[in-house]
Amino acid sequence: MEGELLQREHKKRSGAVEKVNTVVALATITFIVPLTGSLLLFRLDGRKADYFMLALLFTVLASQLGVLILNTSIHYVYLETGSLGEVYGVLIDPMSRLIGTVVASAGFIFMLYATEYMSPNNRGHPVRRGKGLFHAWMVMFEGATMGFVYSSTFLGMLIFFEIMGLACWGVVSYYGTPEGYRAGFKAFIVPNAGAMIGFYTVMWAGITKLHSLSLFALHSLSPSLKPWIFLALLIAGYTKSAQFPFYSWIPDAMEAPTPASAFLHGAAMVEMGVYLVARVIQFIGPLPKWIFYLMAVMVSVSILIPVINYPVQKDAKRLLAYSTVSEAGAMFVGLTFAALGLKTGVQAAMFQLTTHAFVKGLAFLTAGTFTYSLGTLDMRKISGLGRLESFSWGVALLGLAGLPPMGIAFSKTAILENLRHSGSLLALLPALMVLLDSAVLLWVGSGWIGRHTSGTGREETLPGVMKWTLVVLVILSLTVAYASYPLVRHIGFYWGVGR
Amino acid sequence: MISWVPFAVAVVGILLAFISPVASRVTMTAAMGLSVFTFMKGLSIESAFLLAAVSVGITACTLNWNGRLDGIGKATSILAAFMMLFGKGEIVLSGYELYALGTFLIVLSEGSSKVARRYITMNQVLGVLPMLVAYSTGFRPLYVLPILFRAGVFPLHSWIRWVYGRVSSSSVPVFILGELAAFRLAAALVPGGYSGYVLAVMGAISSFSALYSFKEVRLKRKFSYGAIMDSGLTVFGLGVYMVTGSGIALIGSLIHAIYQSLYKAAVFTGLSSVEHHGEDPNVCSIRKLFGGGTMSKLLYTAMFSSSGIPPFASFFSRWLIYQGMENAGVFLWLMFIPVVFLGAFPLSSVLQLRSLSERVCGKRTGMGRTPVRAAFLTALLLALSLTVPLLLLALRLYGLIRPVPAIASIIALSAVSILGGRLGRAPTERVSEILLLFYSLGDIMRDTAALMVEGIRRIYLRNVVPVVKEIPSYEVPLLYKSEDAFDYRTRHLDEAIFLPAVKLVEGASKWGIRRRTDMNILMGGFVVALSALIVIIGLIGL
Repeated sequence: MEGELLQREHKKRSGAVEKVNTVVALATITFIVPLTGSLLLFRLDGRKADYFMLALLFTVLASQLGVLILNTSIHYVYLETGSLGEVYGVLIDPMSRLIGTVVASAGFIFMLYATEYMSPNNRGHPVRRGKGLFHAWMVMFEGATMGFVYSSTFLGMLIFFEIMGLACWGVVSYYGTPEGYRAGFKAFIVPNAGAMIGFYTVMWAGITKLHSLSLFALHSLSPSLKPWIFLALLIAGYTKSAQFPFYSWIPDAMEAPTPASAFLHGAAMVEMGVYLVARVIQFIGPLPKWIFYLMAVMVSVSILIPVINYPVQKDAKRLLAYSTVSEAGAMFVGLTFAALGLKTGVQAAMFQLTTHAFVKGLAFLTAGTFTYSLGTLDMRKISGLGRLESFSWGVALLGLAGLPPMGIAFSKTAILENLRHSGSLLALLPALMVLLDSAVLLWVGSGWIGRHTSGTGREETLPGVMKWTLVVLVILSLTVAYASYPLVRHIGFYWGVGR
Repeated sequence: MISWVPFAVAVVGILLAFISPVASRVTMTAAMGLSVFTFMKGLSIESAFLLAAVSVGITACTLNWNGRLDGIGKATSILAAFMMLFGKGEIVLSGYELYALGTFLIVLSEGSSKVARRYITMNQVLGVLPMLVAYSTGFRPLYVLPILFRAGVFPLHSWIRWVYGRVSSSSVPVFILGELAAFRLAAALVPGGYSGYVLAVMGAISSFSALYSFKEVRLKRKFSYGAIMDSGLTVFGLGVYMVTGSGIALIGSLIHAIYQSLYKAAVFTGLSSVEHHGEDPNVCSIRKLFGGGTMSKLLYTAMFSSSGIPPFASFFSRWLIYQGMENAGVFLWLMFIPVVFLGAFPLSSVLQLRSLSERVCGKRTGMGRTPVRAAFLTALLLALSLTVPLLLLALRLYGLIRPVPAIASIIALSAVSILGGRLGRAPTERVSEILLLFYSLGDIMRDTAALMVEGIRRIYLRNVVPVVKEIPSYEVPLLYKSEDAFDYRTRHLDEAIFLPAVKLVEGASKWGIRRRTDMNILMGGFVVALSALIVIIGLIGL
């Protein structure tokens, strides 16, 4: 009897170990496979590149779904040294599981769309050769983003941050135009400047003060140093997320092919700046109140930039780029509340990140159909859209303006709900800016919707893959808030938690 | 507590509207029967609200839908209105937002995109966003704004004029359902504070729309102004309740809200049968189309319902609201006097309409068949509007009526009815001359609002646009709309910080091109440098 119990206990333990190993292996696959596979993709072209790229991204998606389903939180150390402590490792927790799933699923959908978008039939940007190069950069981008999401050390984050920047340069300057090159440099340099300020400062503190590069060590920082390290990392986050005063690289990065823009705005580059700051807040512990004041003012100014720019934009992608600045701003509003020690602030920011990814993806991919079938993004020249395009454009723009039942309405409500616990009048300022942004975008967006949907209905000549990706994104825009909320609720702080 | 059985059946009926209109109508009819049964079984304000909501809902579901978008919009709006009417917390919030979206689709499919755009933006700014802030901060007085907007009360009333004028009459019951929901929310407001005065002032000013209703000959506009006046009276009653805590004023307001939703739905359903024959309803349409037949009588009965003469329900609801003034202070009385005076105009308006149609339109021309569904629904709504408030009164009056205010209110109502009768028979020109001052005031307010909007637009174009766009200073005065600035280059406010670095890299790239160095090689070099850094850090660690 006793032997049987021991055997059962042993089986249970070995089962748990097996589960941990499986989850870590799957999480590792999500970034190792695309990063190595992308090197091979540089040598491929045409349909071969399509199939190989899809195989790589499907592997990422399947592994990520495995991590999600196995539902285990683990901190796994790959490499540890005496003087630097943890050098490389992964942290699989509700936040990384949620955002990893967003990145993997959005990446797969956007790139599935890209297989048809990047073709000679595209009226605006016909692509005859060099598809493999684009796919390679994009797969590398996704791999780096997944690595960034799972990293548990600053060195790991820095490496993936820089690879993301490199891939971003690759996709933005892909068409090889002078504007593209300039925008590519800008998209590379601005976040890099932030990385130098933020990551190198924290690495310095990690090497000289903490003797660990782990996120878990952040809590041990001295109270006098803590706000300054946070500020440095906040600058890194701002540069990546195109917040004031580092925002202009994002409207210029519209030179990238549309699926890349969708990924850059919806699930990768911009969102990773928010994710970085959220991660830091999760670990660093209580911050002085002046950080909250500073963040509140900065984010309010950031949201003001798109508000004054919306009415004078004629290019569909630029309009969406400005909305990215404000949506990322809304995520930072959540983090501003989190800086006060409100767990719900981080939750709301990650909720907004999740809902925004699919609505913004839908908006960009619909704008992509304008390039594909009309050869223009000038909104003055677009009218009489077909049924699917009209519907998806309406859902996307109204969704971005925060109208239900699209997901952003719920995540913005979650952000505003923090007001109740903030206990500061200044907290009203960013909240009001979020609402002002919604109102102005609604005014401008509804004007364009009316103009684009009126007139004789044009026959849609989109390939089936592009149509179906739009349909899937419409469904996700409507349902993602409900699907993601259970995971969002489990996001919390690790203040003072040992690894 | 409402009875969940008819409520659940009604919700199923609304959901079925997305799939099959016929199945929806059958289910909604069942819900109607059940809610009548529930109401008769336990007379209460809640069950009356349910009955009114189901009745107006069934009207909206049964009348014709103009295409798929309109259908989706209507079904969504009716569902959302039910969420607002009978939900709590987040359900009400989501219902309010969803209702905005559903009604936007209706306006978009039936009216113009310009009106739809104005409507949704106003809805978002004055309704949804304050609701969100009120909900997020727990600051209850802010709920007043979304309620006033949905009820269409001054100064948030302008959407009623645009929307009711643009959409077909058969769609108006959907908007009436929203008003009903707003008043249901208002019933939860707590007495005390200054919100009551705000409500009373807004309600009193809204009553002036009776004057605009009086001068209109286009029937849809006439009744949309009448709707604003009725909402104003309800809101005034709620204000009196919040200031004085008078229970009789609250009951009067709620009864008026229920009654007016039924009567207004009846009027617009009647007008929908005029539109059915392709005519914009005007003074002559009533005679021309119905030729004094049953529908004409129903429509006149519905119009008389708002006049405040017995036995119509408006008389009873006004009577109760007026009695609530017993303990009111000077400020409330100052607002109350114009409310009572303006109560004369609904009756004069109907009388004037009758005499005008007799003088101008002649007799029984161009007869057309009245759609049976519309006639049936108008009769049903009218019957409910005449009986439901009376039954409620029977239940609620016991112990609340006091002789002096009750008699004083009857005297006031009688005086006003006599005045209304005289005004209705007086020559239109003379009455219009007397009222010119009020019309001018309205025009002044409208022009002031337009001037303010124009001012904001001017400031944006002259002062903000030159900051975000590179526009030569001599061209700035030529900007008249934001589209004029489209083709200028965007100015990035942050570029000054990073421009030197960008130029440096650009210079390096040009140098690389001169040296036949590929940018990929440069980037490759960067990757090698990064790897070296990692190795160095690793070595330090070891």
